[in-house]
Amino acid sequence: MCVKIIFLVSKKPVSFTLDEDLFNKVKVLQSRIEKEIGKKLSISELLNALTEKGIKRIESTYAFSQPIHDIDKDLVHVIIETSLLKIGVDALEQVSNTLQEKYGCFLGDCYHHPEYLKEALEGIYGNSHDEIINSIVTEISKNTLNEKLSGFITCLQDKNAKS
Amino acid sequence: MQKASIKRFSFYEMLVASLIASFFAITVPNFFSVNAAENVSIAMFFTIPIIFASIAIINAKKNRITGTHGKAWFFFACLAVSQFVADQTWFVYDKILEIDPFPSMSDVFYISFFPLFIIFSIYYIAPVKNAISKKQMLGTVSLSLLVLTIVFYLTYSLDFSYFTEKPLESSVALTYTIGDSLMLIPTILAITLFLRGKVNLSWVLIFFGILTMIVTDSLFLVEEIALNYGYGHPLDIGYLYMYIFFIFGIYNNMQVFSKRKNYLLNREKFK
Repeated sequence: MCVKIIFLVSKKPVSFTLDEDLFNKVKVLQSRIEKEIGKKLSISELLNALTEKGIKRIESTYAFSQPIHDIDKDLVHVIIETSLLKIGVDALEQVSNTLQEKYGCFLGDCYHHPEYLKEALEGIYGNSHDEIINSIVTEISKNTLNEKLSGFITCLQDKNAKS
Repeated sequence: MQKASIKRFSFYEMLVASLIASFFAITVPNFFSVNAAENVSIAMFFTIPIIFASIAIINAKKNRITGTHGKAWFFFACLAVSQFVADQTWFVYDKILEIDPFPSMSDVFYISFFPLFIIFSIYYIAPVKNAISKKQMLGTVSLSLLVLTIVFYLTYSLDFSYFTEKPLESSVALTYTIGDSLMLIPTILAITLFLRGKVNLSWVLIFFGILTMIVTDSLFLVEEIALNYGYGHPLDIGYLYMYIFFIFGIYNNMQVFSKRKNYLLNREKFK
């Protein structure tokens, strides 16, 4: 079902008008992920679909009711969630639990606090947490948003970043 | 914080209690009669493997066969079921059909442990495989070869005639020796990869399980050659310990799926 939605968004832009803001589309996809959790969702496909028409074009032609950073926040949320789901449900649950227990925040809040995510991954995966971070960064880099999210990536990859 | 430390303490407490209980469950009946020892051992080898298989299936179900870890835990559940079937087949051969169960159909299920465990560990390590250095790999393989040499020497130097007279038995026994040592490679790699991480506890417990299995399998071979092995033998403690370590390893992994904090169940609240 998720793939179908993406197909609709990416291949048939008529059904996707700019009156719907990007924020809502991410929400739709998020709920689809929830329903279809047993299936693999290609994050690059999702992000390409969202960025195919170009974030800049959307920004220039449409006045968002939501601040643009919130859309970025949701995209980061989706990327982290999907990257962790690629590892497994246990990885997603562990990271989510650690974020709640240690910092009282959720996955979406990692957009503003990438150091929390970094520390949570370090606490769970120990020596090999860098590999998980790299997989998240790779997913972000696959789309055109990486320039907007460069600060997030830098903080995530910074060896000395502490909360 | 205090609650968490109490919970963690009870986890270790349960582990130690299970190890002590299995030790006494196997040794004490031996002081009464051979029959009592056999019956208790048969009961234990039904109960513990079925707990192991059940908890492994629950864990696999919770992981939904999604992602590489989901697939890994699915193969671990297959492994657990295969061990349960192996134990029951051994019982049928030994006590119902009254045929020497070594070697028998049960060995096919016991030996399936090795490929299934390898697949499990490959899937589990896959997301962080790039973190494995050549040095780590070389060190782990060397350690595994060292263990293989020691076990091979200790076991096969005892009665070499057994291996020339019984080629089938000896080749099955050789499979166990090699398989046991091979299991060390992914286990030690995982421990070094996840060192200082939460998931490491599961791997440390699996490592203890594998270590117990190596020692017990080697001693089993010695006792089998001497025709001393039977239900209720003290060696059964080793096999039960192996199951207990595996059970607690899985249980540790399952602790992330508490309903109160479950991310996927409460996703809307967590936005």
